[in-house]
Amino acid sequence: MVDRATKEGSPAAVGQTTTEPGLSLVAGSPAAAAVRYPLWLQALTMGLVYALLAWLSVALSRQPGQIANIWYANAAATALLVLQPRAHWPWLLLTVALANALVNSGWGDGWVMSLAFVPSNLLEVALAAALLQRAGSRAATLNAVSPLLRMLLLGALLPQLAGASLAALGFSLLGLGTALTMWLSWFESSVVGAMATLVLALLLLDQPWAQTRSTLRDPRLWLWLALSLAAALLCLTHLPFPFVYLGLPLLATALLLDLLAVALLAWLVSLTVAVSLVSGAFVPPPVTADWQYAYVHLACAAALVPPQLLAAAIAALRDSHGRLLQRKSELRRANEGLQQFVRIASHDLREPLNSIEQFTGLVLGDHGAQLPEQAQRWLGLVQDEAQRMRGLLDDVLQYAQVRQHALPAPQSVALDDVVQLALQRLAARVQACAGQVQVASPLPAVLGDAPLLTLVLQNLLGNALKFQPAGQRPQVSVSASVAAGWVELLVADNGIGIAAADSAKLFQPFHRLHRRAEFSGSGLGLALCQQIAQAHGGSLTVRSIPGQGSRFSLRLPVG
Amino acid sequence: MRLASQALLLGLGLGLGLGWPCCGAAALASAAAAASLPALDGAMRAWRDHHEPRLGVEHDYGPFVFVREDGVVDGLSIDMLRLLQARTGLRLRPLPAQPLSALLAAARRHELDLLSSLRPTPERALFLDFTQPYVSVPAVLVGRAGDAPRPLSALAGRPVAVGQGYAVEAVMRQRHPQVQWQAVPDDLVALQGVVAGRYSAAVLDAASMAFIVRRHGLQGLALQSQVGFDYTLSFAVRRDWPQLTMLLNAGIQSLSQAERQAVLARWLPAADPVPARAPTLTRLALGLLLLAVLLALLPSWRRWRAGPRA
Repeated sequence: MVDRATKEGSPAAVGQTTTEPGLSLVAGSPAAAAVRYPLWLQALTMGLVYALLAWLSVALSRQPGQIANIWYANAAATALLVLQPRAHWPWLLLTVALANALVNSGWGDGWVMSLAFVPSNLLEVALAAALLQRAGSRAATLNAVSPLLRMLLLGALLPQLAGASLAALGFSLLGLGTALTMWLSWFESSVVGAMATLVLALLLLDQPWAQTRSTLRDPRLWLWLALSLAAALLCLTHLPFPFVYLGLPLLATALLLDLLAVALLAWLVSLTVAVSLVSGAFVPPPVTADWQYAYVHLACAAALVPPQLLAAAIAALRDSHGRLLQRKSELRRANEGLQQFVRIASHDLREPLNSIEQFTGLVLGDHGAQLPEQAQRWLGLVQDEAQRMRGLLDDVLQYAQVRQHALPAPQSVALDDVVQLALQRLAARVQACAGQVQVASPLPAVLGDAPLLTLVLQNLLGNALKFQPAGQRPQVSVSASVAAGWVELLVADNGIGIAAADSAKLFQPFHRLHRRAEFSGSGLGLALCQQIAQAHGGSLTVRSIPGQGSRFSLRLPVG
Repeated sequence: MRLASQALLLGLGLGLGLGWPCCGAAALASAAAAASLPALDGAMRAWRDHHEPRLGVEHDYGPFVFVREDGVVDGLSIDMLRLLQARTGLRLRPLPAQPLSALLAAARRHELDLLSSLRPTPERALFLDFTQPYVSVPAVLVGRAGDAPRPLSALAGRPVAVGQGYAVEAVMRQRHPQVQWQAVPDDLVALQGVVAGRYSAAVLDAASMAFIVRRHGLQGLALQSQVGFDYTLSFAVRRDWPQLTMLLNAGIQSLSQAERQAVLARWLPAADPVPARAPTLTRLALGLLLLAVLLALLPSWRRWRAGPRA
């Protein structure tokens, strides 16, 4: 089980073992386990690892007096050094220097030549480790493209430029080789080795061992390992441009497995390249200048890097997808709670309200005459408030239902019918306020759901009749126009109007622009209307001048 | 869905491995269809009409270029040049045959303009320009019949012959410095030395080996292994004559696959055995491929076994 904070790339949030300010190690990682051992033992381990990888490189591709084709040791030493406090570096670098000189000497180089290799290797390792430590490059940050690119730039390219330059300068001054040839050979061998090794080494050392074990136990890793090595061997031994194909199995692995798996395969493929070179199985293409040799092998690095970047990008996507799923799950739970509340509000609260309203009505009807006038007035208030609360509950229920449920399949709806139905439901109110409603018939048809559109018109017309100055006779007009596949239905009134500053708040749920004593309502009507309009793919907007009325524009697709 | 994507990827991988021969066949067919006469512009035609390049030929580099017993220069490269002359209208003036080292020295002095059967190397590129390759054959290690096949790395300290100035010489010296390399004037001398016991083995290209053995009736030789070097041979032109390189390249590109194959078949008989390139690594790769297929099938097999019980 991977710690989530580790996956999210924040080592500070993970259980840590701190060795010094600014350097913390991930709990459960091999690097964290190593801090328990004395410095001399750590230095000895580092020296042995360096010597082993250096020996592997020279045994695979180097002859006395020449440079190995692929140099793994420096990248491994860099990864080890990054996880160590600066105070330990001198001793660890001394071990690296000794291991480097001993391996070169053991391979047949004289002492001068062996020692000549040391300064450039030390510069490369120390510079890479310093840059990576300063940039905060750690295993937990590698599951994204940008940090991985930064790490490869700072740890597998820039230090190699410096190392190759120092080597070229030193060797040419000592008369041990030509500067350009030395520079190219050093640079290409070091870059190929670092690109293949650095990510793998850092992940193996710095991520929790449980995570590494989980990757190594995945049977798909072994399937793709066999396939990658088989493809690499066949391409290198039989195809004219083998490096083009080396990355294909790795790219496929990046789609299925994590970065550690891809880094491991990339390293093994680079090892296969080295084996093919030394055995003569890989035949480099003819070149017409010495410098072209370098680019034959650099192609290997170019094949190994993109799969690692793809693996990092996919890891970031998976991480993001996981967070989205988690958020979706939280939202679903919250939504279920809201639905439950709506059910309670609409059904369970309605029952006692009905009782209050009914029995208040009974008391007022049967015994009203016997009650004092003040008691009658108070009971009337109780009845009115109960009715208002029931209306509020109905609005809340409708609003929640529209938000949570998808619309039924849209059908052609005649707006004439919708407007007439809405006016029938408002007939009592129109009559009560002596309102005048003019409908520009015939109205076009729209695509939508007839009951919901009736609700919208009922709300808009109801508002037009309601929000009027005291004593004014409401005058409402309904008209429509068609343009570019859309119907624009206008509901205009001569009401109190809306200030420009209030227009934005108008469609917010439970937002009221007036005191309840002035105009009754739940504050949900227009929010519900806009919700329904948007659910149809349309919109609801308003233009208004205070004191001169309002024009609501409902935009819907032509039916 | 996940299984399907894995199967697709595995199929792609296997397709990559198994589809090579088909792709190769398709490429050959399209190449044959594309053959046509080269289009030479006015400047190139004018250059051709005013020049008669001097052709340097090797005395004994069969089957690519050699002097027959009747004194006529012959070989694969000469046949190829005749085809190119017919295509481009190029006129050539052959010079007396010499060993390669002498020819290279003459080319450096601009005493000849065109050489055949050369592999590009950085050293040669200092004074020669190279056309695109027209033939490729592997270099092989040749030992005495009856000797156990050995790779070059097992010949540390032993005398091994290689043609002086040949492209393979520098590469072999660099890759296997522990071998006691013996530079010889040509491949015939190298093979005769192996038969006589002066050299433990010789490195030369497989086509030359087969040609020399047939022509000189050498007995007691055996191919041992490929050495990881292909003779990808080109025509070499003096560097200050890029027009000649362009002319030859235009001619090579205009050759149909059938024309090219006819020349190769005359000089490189398929019956000559050449040891496979990297047989051990190839077997290892095929083994890994089989392992990958088995690992891919393992989950399906487990499900199949578990199915009836469930």
